[in-house]
Amino acid sequence: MRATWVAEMAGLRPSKRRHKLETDVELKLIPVMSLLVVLVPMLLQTAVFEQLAAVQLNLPSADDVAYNPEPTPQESGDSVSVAITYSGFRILSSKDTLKKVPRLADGSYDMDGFGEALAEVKKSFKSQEAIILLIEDGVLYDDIIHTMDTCRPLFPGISLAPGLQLPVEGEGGG
Amino acid sequence: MTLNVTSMIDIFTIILVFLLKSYSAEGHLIQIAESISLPVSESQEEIHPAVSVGFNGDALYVDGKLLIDDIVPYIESDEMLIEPLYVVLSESASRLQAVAEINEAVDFTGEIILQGDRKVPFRLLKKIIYTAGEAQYVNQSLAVFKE
Repeated sequence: MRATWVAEMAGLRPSKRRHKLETDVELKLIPVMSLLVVLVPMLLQTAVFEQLAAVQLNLPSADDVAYNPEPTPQESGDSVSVAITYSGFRILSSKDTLKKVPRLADGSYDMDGFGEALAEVKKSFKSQEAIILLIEDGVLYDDIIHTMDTCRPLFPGISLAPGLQLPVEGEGGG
Repeated sequence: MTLNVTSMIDIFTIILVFLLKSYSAEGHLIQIAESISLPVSESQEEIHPAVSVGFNGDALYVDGKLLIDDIVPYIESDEMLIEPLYVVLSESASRLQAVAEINEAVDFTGEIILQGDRKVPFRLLKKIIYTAGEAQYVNQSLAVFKE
């Protein structure tokens, strides 16, 4: 007994364990495959490719009106508004027209030109955050959203208002 | 003979990772009618589930259900209020307010989501904004697609 042990320690006898160097392992991939075949269609079905976002509208609430009954002359003097008309953009202060950006030749609104013009206007209205969009009736929703996108980095407080004609009763700042 | 599926698994694994990445447990919480194609905006604001009003140049939907199937007369009329929409919205507003009174966990915030087709004129939009405002839905947001 003891002799065998000593012999083993000395490595005189090969281990009984098999040293099988070349293994012939076949991964069983078929179950994985079935799993994937189930998972992929399920995820494809629930996949959301178009993410929704929201554009918050600032409606004047009854509380606001009570709190701030009328803009001070300073505030109204500094206000900037953009008229979106059929002929193009017009950037207005409370006193006069600051800039005009006509439509492009193909009939679309010149968003780049408008962005540049607005950035220029922003220089003289540094502290002003609010802007009013005066929109004519026939202007398309898509153009309004894009105009809001252009305004947002410079003037985050965007309000909508009906066009240059007399504001409709009760419509408010939108 | 064994089927050589390793490369197929490669493909599927990549697709799986990609899909899991775009997987959102929320999905579309608000329903959008098929015929409405929302405009695309840079806005990153998240959308919260709320009462939704969908509209295109022909029809108007409330919570995905058709309410007005011919909206043209409403666009053309000088009346700011869209009567059927006002009726439905003020009804749901009063229902929500009643719930909010009983259940403290519920608050009536007057949230509403306007889903407009990109080809809708402002004339219709302002009427809907006005009508929803009249029906006590003052916390309005416009639904858009993220860029």
